[in-house]
Amino acid sequence: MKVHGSCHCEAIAWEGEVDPAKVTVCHCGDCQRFSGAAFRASVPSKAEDFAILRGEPVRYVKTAENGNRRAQAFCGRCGTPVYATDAENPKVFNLRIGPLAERAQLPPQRQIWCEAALPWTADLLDVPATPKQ
Amino acid sequence: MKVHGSCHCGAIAWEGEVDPAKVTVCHCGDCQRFSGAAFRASVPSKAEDFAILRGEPVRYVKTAE
Repeated sequence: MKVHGSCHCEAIAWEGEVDPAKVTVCHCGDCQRFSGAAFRASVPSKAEDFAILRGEPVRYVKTAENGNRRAQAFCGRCGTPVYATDAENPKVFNLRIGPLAERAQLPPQRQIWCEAALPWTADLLDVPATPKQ
Repeated sequence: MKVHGSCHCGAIAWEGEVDPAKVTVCHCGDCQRFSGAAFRASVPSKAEDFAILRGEPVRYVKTAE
């Protein structure tokens, strides 16, 4: 499935080919921090199927618990997250679902780091809700 | 309730006083985009109760609907 991404200020645009069966939600502490909320959601795109069409993301390298060095790419102007990839050997780009035009067609297929999940995420549907503000 | 924040690289740190009864999740398209996921969650802190302790965040201004 072809996906099309752009950051909020439109400085950066990208596209990629992804398999909707590989959408993953990650509840780890880093993802909570980077998202500003409770988790991140992403889908992999192979390097040969992924292209930045406009602009250049800022990259921040984090070292994971297992020693993996992951480059977190985001728009330096508006902060929109773009992807994460191996810092030295970027063969696969994990595209963040949020800035993709097709995000509604990419429901998560699995959740990881559930031991770190914020306990309220499971009960979110029970929280009082309004259509707009 | 006192809350303490810091960014992943540790450059920026902040603290604030918040009311846990005012935590809100927002599902709007902008929040989906900015979070990279499905929603953002936030809680208000009055200016007099909020302080940046270290560093300086970048600010991006968006105009809402």
